[in-house]
Amino acid sequence: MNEQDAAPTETDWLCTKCELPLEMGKVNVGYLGSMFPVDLLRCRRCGQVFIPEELAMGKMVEVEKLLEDK
Amino acid sequence: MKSSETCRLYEKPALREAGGGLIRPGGLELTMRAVALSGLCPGSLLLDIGCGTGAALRCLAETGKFRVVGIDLSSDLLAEGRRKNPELSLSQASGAALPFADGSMDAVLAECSLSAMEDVEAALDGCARILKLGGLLLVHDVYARAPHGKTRLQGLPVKTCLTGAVSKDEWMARLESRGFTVTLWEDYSSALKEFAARLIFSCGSLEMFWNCSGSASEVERGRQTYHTVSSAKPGYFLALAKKAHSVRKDGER
Amino acid sequence: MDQEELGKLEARCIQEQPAACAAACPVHVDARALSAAVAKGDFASAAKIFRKSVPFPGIISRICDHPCEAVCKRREAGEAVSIRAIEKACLDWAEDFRDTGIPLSKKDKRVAVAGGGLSGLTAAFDLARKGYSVEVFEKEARLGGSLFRFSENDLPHDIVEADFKVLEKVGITVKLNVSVGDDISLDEICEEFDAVYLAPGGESDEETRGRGNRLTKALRIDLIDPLTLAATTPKVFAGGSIRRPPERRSPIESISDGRRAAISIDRYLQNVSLTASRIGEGPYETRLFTRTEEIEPLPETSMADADRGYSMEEAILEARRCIQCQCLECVKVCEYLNSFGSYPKKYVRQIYNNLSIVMGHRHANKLINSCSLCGLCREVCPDDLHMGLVCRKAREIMVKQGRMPPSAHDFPIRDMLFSNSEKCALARPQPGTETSSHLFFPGCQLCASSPEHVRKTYSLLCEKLSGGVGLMLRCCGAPAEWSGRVDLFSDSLSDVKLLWDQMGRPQIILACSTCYEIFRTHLPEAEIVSLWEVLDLLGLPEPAQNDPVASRVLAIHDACSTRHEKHIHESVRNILRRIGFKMEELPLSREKSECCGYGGLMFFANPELARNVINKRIRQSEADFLAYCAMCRDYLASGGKRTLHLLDLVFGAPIDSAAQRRGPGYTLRHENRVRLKNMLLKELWGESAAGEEYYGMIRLSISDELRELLEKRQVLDSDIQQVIDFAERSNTKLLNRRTGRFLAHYKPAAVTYWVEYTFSDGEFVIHNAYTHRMEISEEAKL
Repeated sequence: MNEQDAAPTETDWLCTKCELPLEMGKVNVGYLGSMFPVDLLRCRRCGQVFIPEELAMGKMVEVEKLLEDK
Repeated sequence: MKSSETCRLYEKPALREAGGGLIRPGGLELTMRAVALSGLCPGSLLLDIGCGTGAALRCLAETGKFRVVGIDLSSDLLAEGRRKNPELSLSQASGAALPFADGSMDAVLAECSLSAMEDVEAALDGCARILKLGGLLLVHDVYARAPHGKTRLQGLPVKTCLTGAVSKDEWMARLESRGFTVTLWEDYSSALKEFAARLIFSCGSLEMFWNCSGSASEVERGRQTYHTVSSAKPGYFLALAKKAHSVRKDGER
Repeated sequence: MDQEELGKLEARCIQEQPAACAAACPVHVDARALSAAVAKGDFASAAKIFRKSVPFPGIISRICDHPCEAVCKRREAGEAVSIRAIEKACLDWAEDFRDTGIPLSKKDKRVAVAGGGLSGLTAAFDLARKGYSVEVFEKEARLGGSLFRFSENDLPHDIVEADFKVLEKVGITVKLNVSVGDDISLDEICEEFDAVYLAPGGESDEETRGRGNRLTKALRIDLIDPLTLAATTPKVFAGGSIRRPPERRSPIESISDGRRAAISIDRYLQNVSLTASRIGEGPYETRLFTRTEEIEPLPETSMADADRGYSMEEAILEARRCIQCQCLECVKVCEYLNSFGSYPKKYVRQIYNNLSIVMGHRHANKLINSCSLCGLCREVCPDDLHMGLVCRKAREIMVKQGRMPPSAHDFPIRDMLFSNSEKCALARPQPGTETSSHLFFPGCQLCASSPEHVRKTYSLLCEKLSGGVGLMLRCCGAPAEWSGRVDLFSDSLSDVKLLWDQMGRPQIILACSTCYEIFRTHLPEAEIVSLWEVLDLLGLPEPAQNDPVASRVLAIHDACSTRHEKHIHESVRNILRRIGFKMEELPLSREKSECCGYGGLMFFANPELARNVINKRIRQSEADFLAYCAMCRDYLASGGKRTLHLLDLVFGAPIDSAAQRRGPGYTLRHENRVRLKNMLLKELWGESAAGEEYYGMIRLSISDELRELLEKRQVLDSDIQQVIDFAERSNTKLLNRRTGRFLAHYKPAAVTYWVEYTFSDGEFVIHNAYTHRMEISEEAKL
């Protein structure tokens, strides 16, 4: 992730199940048959991921449209 | 278009990070597939033309089956490569002037490197020359699926494999005119899409990616570049070309 | 869609057809472009256009018989544009520059031209430019032929001379005082030359008085081929005034003949087909259609000095009278066609290209998915081109090829499936009956928007009709049909058919125009009738007829899907009249009605376009609108327009609140359908409601502002409830230590929903929600 996404809230998020702060790691994301790793905040124990609103409604939408236009 | 004016996108860190250290679609998987399909004998001597940091070469060397050598124009990438893989033979040379004897190579690997070159024709001449008869050229590269958008591509100030894309027919002509027989052509455009998707995640958007210097004035140019590139409908292919016969300069066999 | 079908559709669009003037001109001078240039004051460009088509511009600009002016569309709004006078003005006011073109390399063939008039000289000029050796035989002592019948005032000799200078430049040999036929025979000419063009001119009075000419007597004028201008003798071609009786002789036609003969001779000498691809060489009638009704009539610009011709200012004024003929009839009425900046001929080609190449292009995908399929274009097109048919077929092909972007139609398809699910769907005969002679099918959107109206209407029908009125709550399948999902639509239709069959194949009463169209087309075995026709026939319930406010005027927005059903249009208007309303016909109404933006799922594939469509429509009248389709009503109301549904008036709803009501959001639409079924089951059949999903009991607190955002993002309350249900039961959620809020996500089907919430006082306060379609792989890592 680039600088814009590494906001001060990085360490604010806690996985309630494991009671661990989230850490950056490689997460596989995919759509319509394509899959690839992306750096995201996630719980190192259970793998629960955090996807912020800007990412979901921004880059993800762009990628979805790109992959949809077959 | 002078090379000093062009921005060499393949040296940009964002590009290299997106592919997980490799600056092109398909990654190592595609390299290994190409080699597996080629049926090259153990002990073959293989040149990676445009080897970058030598990641593909290392992978191939680790199989123990091949002797590998790589060349690239970028001293930055080569320096990094030599640091990471000191045992590999990596040299700085231009694709247009290959420092190898005629018929000395069993195979040449050109991974998304030909269309990024200044002088593709010379590079292809070189590949044909240094390959022995029956030797293989393993290419995977970009091609333009809507060739009428191509001429505008050539007018862009950024130089990458995407802006150098030509149609499938032109690729075939390029290879066949030099005495190659194309034994395989596979479309891997989905790999290109994935690569673009990764770029979006690392750079913010495709338009931002094309924005070389990051300055505000470049933003509009970045946007136009993005649209010019997408209107040529870029695709990605893997091809195996066997050197069937030699072609003299004047076109006679 | 194959090439041939595509070609036929493309050809229907006449936008690229030439303007009437250019088509009628024997040499096709582009007078429209010429006028546009002069209108801007660019005489140089205009002169260039003129000279490109006419070899002797000075002469023609003075004596042309201008067939263009006879067909000029400006005649229908004033007087025809004085094209010839403008052409002369171009030559007067632009620099004289004549480009003869460099003759091609010399060919070794020799051509003889008999007659040094306009026709012969045009042929000679064209052939010389192609590299042939040309010799002109002229019986008089000077070139020009019948040009000298014009007075010096009309056609000054120095103008003729100036025009003829080009003949020297291209190197033509001229033999004056030699008459072919008298001084030298045609046979001799034929022997010496490789091809011959005879343009001896029309007979003058002297000749008809008896002298005649052996040539003109020998030539079988009636046997000159009209297409190629070939005469019966091999290598001989003929044209010009000789081909026409005196009253139909025309300088510009003579030039055209000369030009066409040169083409024929060139082909003849190269031994290629004389006839292939020769359409449109001479004058013809254009297929272009140009509407002139709304254009303000303007008379011809007068000349201060008739001998001099137009001054620069006068020429510019006159050129501005040119209408710049176009068709664009469909673009004028359809915001979709307008918004993509072009016209159907180009669109059809783009769509075809998009389908035939391997990789879709986003722009073309959007073009295909944005059309409402309503067919208004066909209604106004002079050639009946229906863009909706093209787009609909394209969508089907894209779905088949696996290339339809899911995000375009996923939401409305899911809505349709929900309407047909156990929670909402119902198919029963009237309580207390076994068979049904009628079946009320209100449609999914009326149930979603006004469940009360459905209940009241059903009650009314049961009261007034005998034989049993069944009830079917379902979606007719339109979203599947519109999005090209043939299999899904087929399944939906089979279900309806089966149920209808089981109920005894009753007559179906349809409250929705889209359902009407779908059943009319795809269930032809069923007898269908519109609810409006039924009400018109049966009469209205009591309150409707005594409304004191009824003297208001309502502008009627007809549903686009039943644009051809006149009986429905009439029934609606009869009902309004009976209730006592005055009606206004919108500029585009009845068979020309515009779609509200729901048709073809436009609103989901291209929300921006749909909003523009709605805004344009509601501005077409100051009056309140009346719609008889639930979606039309809700969409028009969403733009801020007071819009009533016909059932509001039939059941005597308070006018103001009904007209100002905004349509329910997606969540409420779902709930309304479910509640309607449950309520009817209980009231009419005495059955208890189906149990609610356990997550349905989760109480949510959502601010109005957030509601709007959720609506925009197409997030339903039930989606939020499912996320919270999952998060709380499995304790899989994130906590933001700074804000104290929870964030959880869940993917019930294709979309992943993220919800930010806190829990307080037994309810979940929702702070934010967003979605994405990409899947994330969350594996436990040890």
